[in-house]
Amino acid sequence: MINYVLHIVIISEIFALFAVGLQLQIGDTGLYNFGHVAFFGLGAYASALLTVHGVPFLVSLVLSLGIAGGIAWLVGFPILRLRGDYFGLAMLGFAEIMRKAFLNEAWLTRGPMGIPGIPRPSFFGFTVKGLPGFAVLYGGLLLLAFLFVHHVVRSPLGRVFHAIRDDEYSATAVGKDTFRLRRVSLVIGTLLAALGGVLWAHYITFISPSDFTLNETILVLLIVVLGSGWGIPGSILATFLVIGFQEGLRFLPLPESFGRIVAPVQQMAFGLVLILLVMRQHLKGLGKGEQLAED
Amino acid sequence: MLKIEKVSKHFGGVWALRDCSLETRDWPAVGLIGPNGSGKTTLFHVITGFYTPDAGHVLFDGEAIQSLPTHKIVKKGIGRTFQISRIFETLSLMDNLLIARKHVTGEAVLPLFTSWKKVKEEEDRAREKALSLLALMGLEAKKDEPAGNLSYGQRKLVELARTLMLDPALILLDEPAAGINPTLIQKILTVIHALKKEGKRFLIIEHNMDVIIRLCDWVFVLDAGSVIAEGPPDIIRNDPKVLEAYFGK
Amino acid sequence: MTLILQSLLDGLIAGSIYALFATGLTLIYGTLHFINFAHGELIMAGAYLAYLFMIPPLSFSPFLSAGLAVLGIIGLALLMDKAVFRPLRNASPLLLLIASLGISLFLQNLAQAVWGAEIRTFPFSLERGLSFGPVVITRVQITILFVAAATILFLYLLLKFTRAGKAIRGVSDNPRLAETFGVESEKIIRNVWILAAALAAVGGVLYAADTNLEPHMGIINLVRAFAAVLLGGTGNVWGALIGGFVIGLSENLGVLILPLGYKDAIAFFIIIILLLFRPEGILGTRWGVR
Repeated sequence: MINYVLHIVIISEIFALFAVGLQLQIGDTGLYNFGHVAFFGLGAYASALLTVHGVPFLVSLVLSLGIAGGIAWLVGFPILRLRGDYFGLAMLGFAEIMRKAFLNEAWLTRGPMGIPGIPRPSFFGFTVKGLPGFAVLYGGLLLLAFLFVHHVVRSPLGRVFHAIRDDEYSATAVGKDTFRLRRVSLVIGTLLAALGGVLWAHYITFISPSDFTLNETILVLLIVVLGSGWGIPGSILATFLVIGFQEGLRFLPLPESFGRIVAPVQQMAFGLVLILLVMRQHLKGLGKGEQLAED
Repeated sequence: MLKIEKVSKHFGGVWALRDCSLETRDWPAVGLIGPNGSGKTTLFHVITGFYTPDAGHVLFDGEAIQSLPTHKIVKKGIGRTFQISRIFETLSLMDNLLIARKHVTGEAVLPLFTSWKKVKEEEDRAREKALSLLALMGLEAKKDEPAGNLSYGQRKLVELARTLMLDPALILLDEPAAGINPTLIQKILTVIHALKKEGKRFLIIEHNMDVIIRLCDWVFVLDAGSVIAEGPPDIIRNDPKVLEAYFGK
Repeated sequence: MTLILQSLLDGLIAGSIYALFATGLTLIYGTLHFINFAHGELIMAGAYLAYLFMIPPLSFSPFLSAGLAVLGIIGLALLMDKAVFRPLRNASPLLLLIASLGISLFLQNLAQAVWGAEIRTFPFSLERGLSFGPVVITRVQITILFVAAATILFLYLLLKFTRAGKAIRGVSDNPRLAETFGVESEKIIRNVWILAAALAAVGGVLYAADTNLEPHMGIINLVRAFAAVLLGGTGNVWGALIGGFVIGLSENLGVLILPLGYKDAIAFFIIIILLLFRPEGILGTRWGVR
């Protein structure tokens, strides 16, 4: 039982990193990134491949974040020219293309077979074993990430993010290079997603392209919408709720015949909750994102 | 100071500006009038870099700025307000003003962690300045309220204060007196007069001729994207060409 | 050469189906101004509903099944609008998009809960097709082309000659016109949903006949449809129609150069490229200022 709880805590910690990144983009900057999962996947794949080929965990962690962040920075050049739903859709397209790449570049990723045997995190001669170790390590990293984002959001940089969310046009009119600033937000959010992905790979020890689909994007979107209005702590709390619900159900002693439909029924519930949240205009903290359209 | 040379801009076959030329010379406040759709706001968008003109030049202190991005033009010393005020609605009045600064150390990631002290000092200085501007507008009591709560007229004041935070040499005002009550108009006029005395220059779009006469030293009249007349405000208001543009023959 | 001809033919068939998806989606986009992610699920649900009627115990004929499926999907679309989109009529397009993502997730998983995740096919015998020289076309494919063409013709007549159709076209071509319709606009929106749902359902049945059914088939077809919508210019019905054919052809010709696994990514490439390089048509309105 305690192991179930710890497992749920660890998965929640991973997804919280993923969600905090998206909260920074959507909630604080108004960047509706529907392709966030691409960077979660990039982090996971990069670190899995590096460590499987013998690169030490810490080096691999830094390199993986660098790769994901670098790709976000590059992708930002064309895609940040777009705004609102078009930006979101282009990012979604990017994420699907990335997934196809994971699936098709089998020489590198082993395609649909995925990458098994990803080593457990180890550093300075110490290897993380057992659930408590993971929970503590990942919890610590989440705390660090939280403090980092919290500091950024409350700084002049965070203030400009909020200004862009409220009215990008106006931010330009007071001399802000909004392209650069939106890219900063994109890259910070990406680094958090990639960190989540790295931690995911080294905890689950097996990854495949089907871990990084639109469903994962919708799941974090649900988390962000659920936690909206309460900023970064809201996202973290919402993650524990949603992941707790998702992972918790798996361990209920359900009859075999019902077991097959548990997952889809859960997803249906998520869909309904998302609809209801939107309908209740539960999006106080979310940017309107359409400020540039004609009044 | 500002020189527009044969600027043209068209949208899908419609000329919003056509060979538009004007020069503000040494006038402290220049008015821009003309019927609706004559291209006044488009000209503002061109000057501030929101639109790139199809032809022509915009010279600011002798330097061509027509192809610079907006944020660079703003940093050269041109500030503006919008016809319908655009403020940051979820931000407090104070934060609205604090956004408007030219070089902010704390708007990049690394300095937030390496030079926190400098960031803090800049913040404190800017806060003082913002407070005095809010006081000038009579809004210091609301400094921590979200700007979204403000009335239409108060938004105009906040937008003007926000523009002033940048210390622009030239300020473009798009209908500063439209849709607000006489008391607030008076307030805005007083502020602009004070700023004129401090040496700020203005380019003002306004339909209210009374306001134009009280504020402006020179007026350009736009019609169908071109300047059709210019002169001192009290003379220009009776110019037959201007009357024709407004009321037809 | 044979390969190219065969790919052209396959692309044409796929394109005729995508054209149905795209015209429906563009009508919705043109009148309601948001990207309806659940359009893919209308397609999916249409296919599954027809499947339900075709298999025992009902064992209806394919045409009757398809007809009933169309009616069912029209009902589903109207329900969706009444329950979700209508209360959000004036919300930002992003909220509507997120709500439609929720609907999409719900319906996809409903289908999976009912029918399971496995791939299914319609209970036709896949009889060997006719050969024109080296190019092969099956009877099913001929039927698909015929039905798609008839549907498009029907749509054309409807939009061109009926009062309701002209009103739809007016609103879709020119959003500002919507205001002048005033009280009429809810009626127009209802007609648009009916039309879009019917097109999605017919297209879904044809798509399933050409390939197969699975609960997640909606998303990729939504993406194809959206790519076609962008190609044609948002809200432009005939543009979307042509766009659908362009997508079908580029997918089938594209795999001659790209690895087969990237076939489904082609529509995404097209979307990204279109979004980036059509500044006036698409971005122009985004940056509109006052």
